[in-house]
Amino acid sequence: MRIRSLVAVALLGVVGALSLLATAQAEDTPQVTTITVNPTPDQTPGKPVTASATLTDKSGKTISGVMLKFYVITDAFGPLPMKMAEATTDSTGTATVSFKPTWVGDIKARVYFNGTKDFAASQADFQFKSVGPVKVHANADFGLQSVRDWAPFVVAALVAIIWTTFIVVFLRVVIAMRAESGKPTPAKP
Amino acid sequence: MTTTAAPDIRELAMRPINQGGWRWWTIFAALTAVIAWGAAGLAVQFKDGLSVTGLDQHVSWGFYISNLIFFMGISYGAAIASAILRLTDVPWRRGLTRMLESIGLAAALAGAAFPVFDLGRPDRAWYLIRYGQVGSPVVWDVIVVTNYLVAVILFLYLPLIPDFALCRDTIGAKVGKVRRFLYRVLSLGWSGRPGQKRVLAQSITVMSILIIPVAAAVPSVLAWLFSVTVRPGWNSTIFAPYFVLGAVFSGVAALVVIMAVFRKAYHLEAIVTERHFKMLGYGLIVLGCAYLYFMISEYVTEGYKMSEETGPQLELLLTGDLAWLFWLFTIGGIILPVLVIALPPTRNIPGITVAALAMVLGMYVKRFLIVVPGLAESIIETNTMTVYHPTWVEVAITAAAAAAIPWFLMLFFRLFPVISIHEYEAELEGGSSAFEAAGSGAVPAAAGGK
Repeated sequence: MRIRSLVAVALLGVVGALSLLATAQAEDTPQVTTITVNPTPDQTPGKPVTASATLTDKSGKTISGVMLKFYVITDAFGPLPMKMAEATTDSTGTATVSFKPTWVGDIKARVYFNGTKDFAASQADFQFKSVGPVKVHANADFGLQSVRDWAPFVVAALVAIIWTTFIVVFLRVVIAMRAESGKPTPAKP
Repeated sequence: MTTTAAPDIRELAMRPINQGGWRWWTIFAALTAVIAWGAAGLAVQFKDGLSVTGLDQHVSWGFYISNLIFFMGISYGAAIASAILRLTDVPWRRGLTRMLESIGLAAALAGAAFPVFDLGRPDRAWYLIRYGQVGSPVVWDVIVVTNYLVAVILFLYLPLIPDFALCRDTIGAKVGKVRRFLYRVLSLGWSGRPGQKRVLAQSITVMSILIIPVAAAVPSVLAWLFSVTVRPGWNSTIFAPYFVLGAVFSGVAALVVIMAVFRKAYHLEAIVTERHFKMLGYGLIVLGCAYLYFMISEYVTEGYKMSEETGPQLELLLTGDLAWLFWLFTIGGIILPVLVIALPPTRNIPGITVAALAMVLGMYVKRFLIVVPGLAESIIETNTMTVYHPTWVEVAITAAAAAAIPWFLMLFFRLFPVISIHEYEAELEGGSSAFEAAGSGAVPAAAGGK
């Protein structure tokens, strides 16, 4: 009986210690966070895109004063995120950024929260439509195509002329020096 | 002027050869230590990548590309100045051309390395050759820099041939086998025959003409690298002539500084006189004023339009975070040095040297102000301005490159004459140029001043 009681007490102790450990561990583990991307309006021609996202903890409480980073997913070298902008969350846990899309179409984007000591990292994807980049420069439609076609050959010819001159100058000097090196130097008057 | 002065010129010009002494070794060791510091920085960067620098996604060209423009600018500025002096056969050039041409090579070697450093992965430099597209200004840059490096080596080498022969014949027996072999091979069997003089004079003239467009192509293409982009602050049609002018300006200013140091160190007072400093000082006044005019022209046109893109750039430079650097350059790097040279009481060797040093440092600041603010403003993210701070790695590599130029020159002038002895002696013999005594007439006669 006594032994049973001792075992029961010991088991209770182990369970209690484990639960305390678990609680302590839970307190050390950063809280799970969630990013909610607010609906991003499609881009208006000539205007930048404004995107915003809100960061909340597991209880739904907003987190302010942390950095959210906005990326677009490019396809140039496989799906890779390219950073567009970053902003700090305000008192409502919302970070708002404004950026200029540089290509047209359905753009896949992602928001990252890198995490802190208290809050775990999280990310969220979103999408918007870009009807056209903000134009800081527009190529003219008219030609110069013949110039573009010939330019590489003209440049190559110029480079060839320069290198030919280098070689001719150098070889001429070497040959002239060698040819005259055996002859006696004329006496100075 | 009498022929009896000739041995003195030989003695003076060849004095640095074999001249060691504790001062030489101390300075050489100090410069070597700075180069070693830069090598350590480079090793750290090669090991850990560009993250050890202050460069980031926005400012991907910081100190490294500023250094490229600065050192290459000094190089082709020196080369163009030497070519012009040779072609116009200005009599007082004879004390300067060798220094100008050797500065041209040393600074070119220092500057040409920086695009490779900026890559972060130097092993990928050859991708430019393997995958380079002819429409890319970066490929144009590789082409013109390669052309220029060959040109500047030839331009330095050709006038050295008679002096190699002089070394072969005078000190060849006293030096080691390697140096004797070097003098013999590099002199190409020169014996001063009329035929040799004629061909050499013609070759130097051809190279003097050719090096001007070849050298001018380098800052032009570098400028196009910036100005063909639509980036605010860089999108300018004035950049190519602006860069060429800046190059000649900084090249001549660097020559004055280096000339003053070598004059003092090697006791060349009899050859490099106050007149040389004054003539170059007048050149610096003209170049400084011209550069100021280009700068005002650029900022007035941009500032008057004040477009949405360039507005933040101009504010950053003129009144913002970088304003202190901008005004330091404008006032301390151009206006004050020009005044120092222009005013008679300070128009002397110390005054001109200090002014030239301020101009050189000012032009470095200016290159930084061209490269960095143009990248600091994001063209994707609106209203974002990145701040760039170079790390010790970039500072160390920059210091090493700056130290490498005098280091190279000290070694160079320990092996070869600091002044073109042959040209000096030919002048004393009665030719208006180094080789006219041979009757070639290949080099134009002096345009006055003899």
